[in-house]
Amino acid sequence: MSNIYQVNCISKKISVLSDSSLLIEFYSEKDISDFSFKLGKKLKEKFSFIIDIVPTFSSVAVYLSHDANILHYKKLIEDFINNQSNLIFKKDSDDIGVLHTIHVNYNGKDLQRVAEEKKLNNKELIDIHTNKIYIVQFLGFVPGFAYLGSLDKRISLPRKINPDKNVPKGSVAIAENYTAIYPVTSPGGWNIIGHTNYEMINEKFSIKLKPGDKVKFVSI
Amino acid sequence: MAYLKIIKNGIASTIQDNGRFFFRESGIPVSGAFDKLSAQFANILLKNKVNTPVMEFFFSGPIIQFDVDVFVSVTGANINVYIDDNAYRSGGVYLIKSGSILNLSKFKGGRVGYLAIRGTWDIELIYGSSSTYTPCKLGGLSGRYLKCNDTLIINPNEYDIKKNILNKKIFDVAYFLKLNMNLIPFVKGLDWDKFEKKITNMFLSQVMEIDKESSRMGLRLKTINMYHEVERKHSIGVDEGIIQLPKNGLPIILMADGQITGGYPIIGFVPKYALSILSQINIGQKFKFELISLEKAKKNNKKMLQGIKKFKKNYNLKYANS
Repeated sequence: MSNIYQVNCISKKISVLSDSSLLIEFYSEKDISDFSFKLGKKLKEKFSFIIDIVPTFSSVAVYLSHDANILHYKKLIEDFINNQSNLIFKKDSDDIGVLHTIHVNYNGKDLQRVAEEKKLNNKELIDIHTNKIYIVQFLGFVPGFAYLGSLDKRISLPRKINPDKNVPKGSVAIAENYTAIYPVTSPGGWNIIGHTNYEMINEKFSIKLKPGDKVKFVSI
Repeated sequence: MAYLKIIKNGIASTIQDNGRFFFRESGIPVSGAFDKLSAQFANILLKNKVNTPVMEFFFSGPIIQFDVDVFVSVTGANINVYIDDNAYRSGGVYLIKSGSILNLSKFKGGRVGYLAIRGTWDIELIYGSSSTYTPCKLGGLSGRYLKCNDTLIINPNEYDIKKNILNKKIFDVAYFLKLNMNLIPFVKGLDWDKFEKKITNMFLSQVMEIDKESSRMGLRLKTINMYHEVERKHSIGVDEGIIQLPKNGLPIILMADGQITGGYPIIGFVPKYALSILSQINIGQKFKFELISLEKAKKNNKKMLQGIKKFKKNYNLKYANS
């Protein structure tokens, strides 16, 4: 894999997400969340009116201070990005994160259904899920919820139509191109295939998995 | 060292402030008061610093004993403020004498109330905020709801306030905003144009009701099921006030403890100036959405900020000297 890549900034869209946030989306088929993260960081450093950023697959949400004139700042950010027609990012050596080995009991309540939908038996599904080293692409949803990519296409499926009101802490789940572990009990719409005792956040609230870290699942 | 003691905990009582900023990229939600404007006014009435913690409670507030003379304020929902045997209306400033009992259990209307004290609280800052985020046991008092017999250390300050305004209603959030709860303004969201006309028309015309499954994370709405086929390919960063419409056709409005990212299509968002009114709508209460432009939302947000400034100036001139 090349350690330098280029993102064409012309194929982007900046939209109003709420009255104090903007969404910068790039047209990309592959996960460019590491790029989104770096672009977000750069914008946050450059503009004092940006208080928060949230990078995801191929977009970055930018949150402004509440009294900001959103359309004025939208223009400033647009100009800034347009002035760098192509953004080239190197993957730094410190991007190579820690490897976490996580033991999973594949007894999730959606395991059977997912296997049937994907025309696999349970063992095949588990083998595919454990056969890969995932990378923490970004964090979100709730504290410590790491989006691990990318999921093998053979087991990729959408979120549930009716989200669960209580997904237990430690649930190992899949949706779209990602797999993840619920760090706390929360509502959620991902397909639950297993459970782990791995603590995603410690008592001091520091987050275990950081962007760039690697995760290997082991079936128990 | 002074303290207050919880005699009865009320419902979902927590410590909150304006919220946790700068750490959303690590997955730390903003959190903070459910009705941020009412919480802010609780502190304004006492001339506290803006981000001073407040106590938040839903549907029925706590009963509290103080071991020190302290000025307090109560805002948000319409609440009977009992101090020992005396009853007052909420929305004012009250002087509580050492040993007295403050009872906030009786709500007359609204969903969420706030208690502020003149002075400071001994609450540890986590990621820069005192706010309690119970799903992760983060912030506030051990990250949890307040319980009977909890004691919280407080540091009350003197308050040079004109005695004739004590115990009187001087602030009402609905009156301040000149909004009513039957019509909640919203602006078209990112995915509005992707929905069929049939769906957006339903969204505009149907009566909405707050479902009892709602929480500090979000308000679930009961209405006619607006089933649709719109999908977001990938999760994106989301924000307080955003209205998601999952495929089951029942809208969810993200609130204070809302998640950082979400994958459901976004049909609209409720602008900042209307979040306070929205947060006071009770379970089962009905309302409709009213479409407004982003320009109008911006204008009204600005008007609200100017209103706060004006209120502060007037209040400080007329009633409070220090």
